[in-house]
Amino acid sequence: VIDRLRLSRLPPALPLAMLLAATAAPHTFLAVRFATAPAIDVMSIAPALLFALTGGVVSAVAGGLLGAVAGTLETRGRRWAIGMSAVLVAAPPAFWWIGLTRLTPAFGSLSGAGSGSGVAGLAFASVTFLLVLAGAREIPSSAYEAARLSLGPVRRIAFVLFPLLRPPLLAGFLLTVVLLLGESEIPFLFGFRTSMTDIVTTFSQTFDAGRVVPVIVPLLATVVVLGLLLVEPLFTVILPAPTGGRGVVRKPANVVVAASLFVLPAMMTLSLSGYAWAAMSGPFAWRARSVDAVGVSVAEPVLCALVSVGLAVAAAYPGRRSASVRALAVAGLLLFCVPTAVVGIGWITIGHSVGGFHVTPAVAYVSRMIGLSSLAFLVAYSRVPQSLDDAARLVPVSSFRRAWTFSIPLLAPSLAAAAALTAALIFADRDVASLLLAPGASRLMLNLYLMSANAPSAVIGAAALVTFVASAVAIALAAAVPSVLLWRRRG
Amino acid sequence: VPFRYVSVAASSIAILLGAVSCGRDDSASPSSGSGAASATVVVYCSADKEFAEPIFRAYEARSGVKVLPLYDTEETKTAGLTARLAAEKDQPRADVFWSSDTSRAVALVDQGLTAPYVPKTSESIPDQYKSRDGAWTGFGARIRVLLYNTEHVKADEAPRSVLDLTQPRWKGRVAIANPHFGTTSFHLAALFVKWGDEKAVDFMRQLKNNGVVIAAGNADVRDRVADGRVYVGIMDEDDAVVALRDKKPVAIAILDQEGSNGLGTPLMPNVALLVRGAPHVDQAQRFIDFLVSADAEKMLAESDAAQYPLHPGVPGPTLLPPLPQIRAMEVDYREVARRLPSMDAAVRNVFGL
Repeated sequence: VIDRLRLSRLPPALPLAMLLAATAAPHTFLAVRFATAPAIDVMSIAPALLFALTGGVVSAVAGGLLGAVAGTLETRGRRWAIGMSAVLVAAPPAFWWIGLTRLTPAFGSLSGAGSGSGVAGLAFASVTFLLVLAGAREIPSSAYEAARLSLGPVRRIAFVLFPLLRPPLLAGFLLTVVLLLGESEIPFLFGFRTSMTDIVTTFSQTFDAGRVVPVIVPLLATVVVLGLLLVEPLFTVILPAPTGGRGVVRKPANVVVAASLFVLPAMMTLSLSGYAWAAMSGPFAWRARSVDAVGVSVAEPVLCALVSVGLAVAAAYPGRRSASVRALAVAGLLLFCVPTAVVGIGWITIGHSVGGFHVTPAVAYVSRMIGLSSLAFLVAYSRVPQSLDDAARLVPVSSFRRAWTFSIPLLAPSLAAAAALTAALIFADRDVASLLLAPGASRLMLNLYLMSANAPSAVIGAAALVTFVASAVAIALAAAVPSVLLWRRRG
Repeated sequence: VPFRYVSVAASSIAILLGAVSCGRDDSASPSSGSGAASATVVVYCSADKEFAEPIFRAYEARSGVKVLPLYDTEETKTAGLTARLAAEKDQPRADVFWSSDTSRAVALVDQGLTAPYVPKTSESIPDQYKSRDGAWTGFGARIRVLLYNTEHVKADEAPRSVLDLTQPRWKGRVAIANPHFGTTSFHLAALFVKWGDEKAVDFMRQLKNNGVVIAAGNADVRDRVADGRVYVGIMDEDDAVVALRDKKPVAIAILDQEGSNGLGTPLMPNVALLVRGAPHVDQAQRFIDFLVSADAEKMLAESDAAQYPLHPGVPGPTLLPPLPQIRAMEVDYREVARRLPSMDAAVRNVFGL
């Protein structure tokens, strides 16, 4: 059959191209709606950009400084600080902010775009932090050691370290800007308008994609431009550097500098303390009500993450060496940059167009995350020495078995990381859940927002803590499954 | 088998699975069994989850019918679900719409999205809170109240009228929820009906010039008042009662009660609607019978929802004055519904929202 269909003549990158094209269906439908009635509303893109750019600067400065410290200095508890800082991505900025406001009303007095940018930028500082940390590992050690010998700390940091870290700083800044352009909860909480608040409110009022497409188009155009700008710095960080002797040799840091590494973990702990404080304010019977929907809230992101990664690997593997790998990786990145709510609206539009079909949230999640998983696979594969892959080809087994036994296990850490990030982003979502969940279904993160209207503080606090723990469990499970599956084979 | 073939097959299967997983969910298909144990009723509910769930649980315990609720978020209160019902009108998914916003519910009736049904338990509900032909039936009413922070405002200083909120004394210290949604939209649209467009828009401009804080929802308004971020805020009585329950430094005032021509405060019954083409009509009618019953009203009055029963003789909420002592704004709910679009446009124009 294979010979008759001449499948062997198919371009190796075709499966991934097909998969990415399928995941772009919502965007295509919205584009068609725009083409049939072209109109653009740019009223909200300026405040949205201002909010996102300011937040990006905050993220780049805070995450950059902390990343530089963690990347160049050795301190006690450094690994703990890095691990805890990474946990910030397990929940959206609004989650952390509401926890802080439960601790003291003083936080709650902040309002407006400036404050919102600061809070969101700090919450996403962990993104820049992790990228800078990764970037520091790619710095040629000899170059930085030479600078240590010949320059004082200020000049060394200003003229050597930060220029060397420019790609991760730029990537962190741009990625934060892209993520904030898709953020609606912080603008709602701080009382200002962005493209996403316009999209969410207008679509909620009309359920008509035609009414929001004029707002979506400039937002998507901006996101695409930012995504393209992101390609170079991001790929510089995550692709292997051509230089040898990588990584800065970390020197001992003094106590004050070491303490600074715990800024982000401290914020996180304070926020969780706010929820814990609220949870303790009421009887146990109230707090016990917050455990509704735990199972499905954990299972859904884990399964969606595994499906995303699995499909991406299956589709991308044949084309891993093709000339179009970079183009496909860029396409995956751009698809990921599109805000989740826009993907959800696109799927609803498709559902309406084909006779009132209801799309499940899982479809929207997987369709958005396949781009990220494809990018992770292609980048991870590019870091594998060619000789290892060539050696695997000498083993007389089928290509499927070769991939499963030799090649893909080499990528286990990257695939586990992609699955964990995917699960975290899906768990944190509220937009798709509120648009696509079926009657009777519920999710912890959405429940938290729904009950925040009038539930007792004890219930909200307990629900937030349950939500956080469930998020951590989902992320751990998503990371563990590919690790265990592939690590066993590698062993 | 070369990996490429597996890959093509996997991609194709993924695309097919994606398409197949998009379908009409079970909740939308008519119940096949006649037994109540397997029956379900789909309820779109704009009342707060916190207050609605005990009602659903009580109905499930009483009838054995599973209630499948769908709520909307605080930021898009009621407007989100009415828009969804309109979008689904050709293939309805919902059986019942429990609307906490009277005007938007009546607007749905005018759009022909509902089917008439006179609940068996609605006889004693006063006529002004239901339509005679059963197009809509009100129950469990709420009023709009002013909540003020007692650490910043003494009782005798608290505003007496919505017009007082434009005074310099309250500059930057007043909060309202986003006027596009929920009962705040009802309140403003009611002012459009009572005052006319010109005066209502002028009032909005004065509020804007006085630095009114637009919060994400009524609960957000309450939290801002309770924390002292603003001194006064307008919200529904159930939101205010939650702050009292939590022993925050706040007190409730009911606006526009004084003078022979006092405007009165908006009174907004919840509304039960039977959705036209509902997949489970029988179950929907039985659920509506329960929802508008004195039993359900009693539960809503006794809970933190603190809603005023419309059935005579059912005790009202304990933290609020009895309904007969309150001057309610006399307003035609249908007329309020008609003013919603012009009010929305004015809000966009004045507040830039």
